Amino acid sequence: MGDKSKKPVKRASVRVVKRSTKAKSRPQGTIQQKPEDEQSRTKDLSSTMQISMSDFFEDLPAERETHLDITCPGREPRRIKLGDDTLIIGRDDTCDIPLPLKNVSRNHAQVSYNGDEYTISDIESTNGIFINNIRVSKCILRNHDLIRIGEAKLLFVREKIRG
Amino acid sequence: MISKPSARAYVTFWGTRGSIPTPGNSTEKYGGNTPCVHIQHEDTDIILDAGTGIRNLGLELMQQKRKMDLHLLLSHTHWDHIQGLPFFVPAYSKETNIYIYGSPQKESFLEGILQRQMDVNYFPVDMNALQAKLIIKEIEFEALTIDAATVQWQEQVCHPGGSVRYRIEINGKKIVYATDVELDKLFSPSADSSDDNKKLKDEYNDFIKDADLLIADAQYTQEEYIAKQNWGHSSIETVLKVAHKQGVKQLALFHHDPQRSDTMIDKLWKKHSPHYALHDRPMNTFWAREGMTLAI
Ligand SMILES: [Zn+2]
Ligand SMILES: [Zn+2]
Repeated sequence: MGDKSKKPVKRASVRVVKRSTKAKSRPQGTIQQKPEDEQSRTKDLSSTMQISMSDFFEDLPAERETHLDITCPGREPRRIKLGDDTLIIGRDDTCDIPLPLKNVSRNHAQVSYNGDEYTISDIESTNGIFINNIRVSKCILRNHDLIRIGEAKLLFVREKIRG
Repeated sequence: MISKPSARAYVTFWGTRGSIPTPGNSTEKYGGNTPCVHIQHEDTDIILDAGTGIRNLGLELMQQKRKMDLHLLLSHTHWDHIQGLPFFVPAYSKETNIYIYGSPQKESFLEGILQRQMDVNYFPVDMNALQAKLIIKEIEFEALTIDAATVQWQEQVCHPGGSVRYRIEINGKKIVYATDVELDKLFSPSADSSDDNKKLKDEYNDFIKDADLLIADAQYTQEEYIAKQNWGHSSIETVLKVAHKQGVKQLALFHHDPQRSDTMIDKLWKKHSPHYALHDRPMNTFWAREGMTLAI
């Protein structure tokens, strides 16, 4: 894989996020807010029960961060965050994830989400999709699966539920 | 109905684990459900074994269709191959016909075995509650025909209690399901060289020859096998050699040991697969995983 420390990329139709080397940012709850000065901190401490239970619930991660790291010859590596929407991968410009390569079909594959798992499916492409070098028609994706479509490589990365 | 020559068979793994289900973090990738493989070709549904993986297949089928004719081929009746049946939702629907095939050696036992699994001491729901029409068939003839598919079968003696292997031929493609068999007993260099053994070897070789996909028991590594002789399962190394020699095109290693974690399988894959994939006569080798569908 290429250098992960740079290159934010812009794309209109899908959420493209910057490859960050920093620790994952979390929603800022009361607990994480830094008091402005020592005085206010003392004040906070004197009224101990300030932290509300609802903050805890807001901080509970409800979804697992999932993305595809894409390496496509002649293009900058990029990261595409996956959400609820079905994404089409193909040679066409109109695809959610365009791969402008000769050996990629116009509409080649799709990645869909059922609320729990992501599945990649071949949509009648000529050259197929390969997961860890095996040609599949369809496959539920697991963390660190390497997908090959033509000469492009897509690494599926998903946060684990338990460590 | 005349099937289009281009119609392909789709093979989906719903359970790939041997012996006992293994849920948990370390088996998430290859899966923890016990054997169940679905072959779909046009409107034909063939199911190989009814391990715990069949539960998820049932939910998927219920979403796809209301009326079903399902053909369930059982390798044998050890727990890990039948335990999912009471949880197979289509079996509770009047709209379902399930044709169940098993070894003729079990004959009338087959129904009894499946029934006893649902005895009140083991399971809360009686087999009579299954609203589907269950048609239990012992396979008597050499081959059976299921719509466009021809199914060949053979008894496997190298497994305690025996088991059956199946070869499904559709559109000129061959898919072989041969699990729960101790090939090392026949093929390892130290195996006995009696005429009986030679016959069994020839039968196996002929059966898998040039298969487009072989789904094969590969529970142990060679080192592990030493302590597991006569337990009825094969070593990975033996299966690889035998399958490659017979010109198998794709090999799905199957019936993973309950102790085999995802990390261990990934390591085994790295160790063995490249050699066969890059060979003059390539054989694509992979460890079968739940949720994977191949077009054959
Ligand atoms: Zn078994
Ligand atoms: Zn068995």
